Amino acid sequence: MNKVFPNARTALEGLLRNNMLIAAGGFGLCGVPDRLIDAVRDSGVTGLTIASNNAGLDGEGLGKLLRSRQVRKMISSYVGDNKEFERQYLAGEIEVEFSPQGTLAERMRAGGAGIPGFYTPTGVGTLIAEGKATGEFDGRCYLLERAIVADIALVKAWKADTSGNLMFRKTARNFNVPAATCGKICVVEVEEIVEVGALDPDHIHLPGIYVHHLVLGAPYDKKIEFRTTRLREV
Amino acid sequence: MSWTRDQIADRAARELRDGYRVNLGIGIPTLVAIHIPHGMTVTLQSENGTLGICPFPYVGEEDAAKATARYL
Repeated sequence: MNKVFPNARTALEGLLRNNMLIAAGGFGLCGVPDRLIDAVRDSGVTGLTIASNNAGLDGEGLGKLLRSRQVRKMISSYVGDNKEFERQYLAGEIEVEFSPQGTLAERMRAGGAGIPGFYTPTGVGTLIAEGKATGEFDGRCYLLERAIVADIALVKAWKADTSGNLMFRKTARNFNVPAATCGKICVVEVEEIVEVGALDPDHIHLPGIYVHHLVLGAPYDKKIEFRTTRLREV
Repeated sequence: MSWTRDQIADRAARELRDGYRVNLGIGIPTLVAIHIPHGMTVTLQSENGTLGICPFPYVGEEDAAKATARYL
């Protein structure tokens, strides 16, 4: 089965529809599936619900889909640094479901592992707990959180082989692994595609069984949201 | 006169003790990484899950794949 597509548009062809649930990797502008987001924007689908740690910046990352008004709801842990999101939210044009960062990661991981829900102590006694069932274990209260199973997962990885076995770099791995596993269909963009056997099996971060479609996204103009450096002492 | 962000981070860093494992949350806390007292060994954890992160890169050695919670 061929998983490699010539570009992001063809990798997503026939997979997108209005009102679908998308899980996307990324943390700030790090490890964001930019080519695939561009292709979703160009497809014109609307009413999207997107589960992603952040909502992108103004005009960057998922911010592109906010600007084009294709998003109905975000499931995120943090939506700051984005004026357009703020404007749409305050105007009642977009819905947000806040999910604490570790809870969001586990909701995706659970969805990918076939686990419909789990108990966590995070958020007990806060707004996050509203409307959620609770359980007591060993004298402590926990919230029942539901797993996320997305219609499609959009993922950015570093390297892939043609079977879709993936490697990530540094913190760009972030939510990409749990997002990939929770998608009914997982579409991945990478910086390099190599032949099967070229990657050391011990170095694979995500097995190719989770990956359905693959596209080479290079070359990348890697953006850094806030650049912080130090000077060498002389 | 109010404190600068670096002064706040420096003051917070003085709360650290040798051997601590330290979670750096979003914002000013990430600046604590560059104010760890000399000779002290602590293990830092960043909000997005990395363990054992190090001080900020030298100019010219920035890497878009390395992010912490703000002040990448």
